[in-house]
Formats: sequence, structure tokens, C-alpha cells
Amino acid sequence: MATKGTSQAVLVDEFIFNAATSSVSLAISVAEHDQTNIASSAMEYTPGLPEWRLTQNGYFVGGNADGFADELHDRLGATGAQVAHLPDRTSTNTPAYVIPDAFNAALPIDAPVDGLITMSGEWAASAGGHRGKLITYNTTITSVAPGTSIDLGSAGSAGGHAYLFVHAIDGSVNGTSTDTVINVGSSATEGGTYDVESTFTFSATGGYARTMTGTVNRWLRINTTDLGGATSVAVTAIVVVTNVTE
Amino acid sequence: MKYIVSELGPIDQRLPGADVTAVYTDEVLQRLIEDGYVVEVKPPPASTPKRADKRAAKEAADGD
Repeated sequence: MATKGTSQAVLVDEFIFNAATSSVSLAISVAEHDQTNIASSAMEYTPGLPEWRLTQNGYFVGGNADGFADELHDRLGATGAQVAHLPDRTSTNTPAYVIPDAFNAALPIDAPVDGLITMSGEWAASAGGHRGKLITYNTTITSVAPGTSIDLGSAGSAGGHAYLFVHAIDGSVNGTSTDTVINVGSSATEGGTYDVESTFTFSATGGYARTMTGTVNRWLRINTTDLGGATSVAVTAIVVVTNVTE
Repeated sequence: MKYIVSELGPIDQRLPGADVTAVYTDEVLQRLIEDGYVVEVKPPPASTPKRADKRAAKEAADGD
């Protein structure tokens, strides 16, 4: 059975605008370069560089700080946004598409019918995107403990990337704390010895990216080793393993 | 020298037993061996004539 569209999520740094988003369109396209020559019997093309673009259509729901309109406008032409599309936020170990250094390339606003105003964001990549897997979605952590592992089915030899979206600290999207520490670990077996692949130390909500190097084992999880000054943090974690998830 | 993926599990989506000779750089290969994902397979020793074969050859030579 096809996954329902209502299972999706779009993350923009610390924000989850599911309730303001009507539809999402992720396009990963590859340029085609014509290399047809005079000996060709048909058109011949060679693939060029990929382009990542995420169009997020939604509704104008007021101009409040931290609202959809405000945050789209803040990122208009400004790189540094960490954006992710989760086709199925309800299941872990499902594909997660990340544009780690995105900017909003358009902000069209329309009023197609009386009483309803639509607006869209168009997330363009300043340095490409990555296909990863979802470790956990919008999970509230209240204690120092490891999370549940996901199995990628294969280890990777060439590192990758880890992304952490910190949605809330102590229940607030504007929350702050002192040095909460969450790491991403990998193990060759479920419940075995987990090697730390990357560490996130943060004191504010937002989107964070880390690079992983060397061998990454097939079982991955996040592990909260210190809550710092927070009593709770809500996070989404995504892992990208080169040669495995992309 | 031949290198294969070990029973520890798949690496880069290559299953255990897959031949990864010349796939990785020396540095990566060494790391994967240390991590346990790749093992070196030594070539079998060169076969030596069995004693029976030697005897048969000697008898054949004596019979000439």
C-alpha cells in the first residue's frame, strides 16, 4: 500500500511546518549533456551534475515570529538552512532527503479564493543534497540513554553525514540550555559495542550537521550522554552513509 | 593476494564472500581488515605429487 501523503514531514532547521504545508515536491534532477556526434545513430547524452530542489506549498497563517511566513522570509536568499523531507515520518529507517545548506529561492504568495492565502517556499541547494535514513522523528528525550537502533543492512567504508534537528528544548522552540550532548553511534551487531561516529553538543534549537569518517557499522542509533541544563529536548536524527544510503 | 568480505557483515552493500581485491585503496583496505570487514585469503599451497603417484611413476620408469 502506498504511503499516505499525510505521513510526510518537512523540517526547516528547528521548525516542523506540517500544519502549514499543503503539498511537497522534491525534485532531484540530473542535467543531460548532448554528446551526439556525426557517427551517432541516435541522440547520445551524458549525465551532468544533480540538482536538488524542494518546493513546499502551504498557507499563510499569520506573520508571527517562528511562523511559516516569517521563517520562509528569513531564509529568502540566505544560505545555511538545514532542510529535510521525510516521505514517511511515522516509520524509522525510511528514506530521508536532506539539503544541508539550503536557501529559499522563491516566496510566491497567492490569494486564490476569498479567505485563503497560499504561500510557498522553494528550497534550493548551495552544495547538493543527501539521501539518508531516519533514525528518529521528533522524539522527546528526558533522560540520558541510548535510543533504538536502525539497521542499514550494510556497513559503509567511506563515512557519511549525520543530521540532528533540535525542535525544542524544555518544550520551547526557542528554548536554550547548556551543552546537551547527543552522539550517533554504530555497531556491527544490534546491542553490541557502539562506536561514536559523530557528536552534537548544543545549547539552542536548530539544525546541526556533522561529518562521519571511516567505517560506519550497519546498526545506528543516537545516544544522549548529557542533557546539560535541559530537562527535555525534542529531536529528529538522520544518518547518511556513503555507498549505503546514497 | 585476494581479499574478500568477511562474515562480520556486508560492507558498501557487498555481501560476505564477495571479492574486493583491488576495490579499495591500500589505506582503506588496511582499515577494513583491522575493523574485521575484510579478510585476506591466502592462495592454496602448490600441489605436490602424492606418494602413490610417485610410486606409479617410478614403476613405470622401472618397467621401461
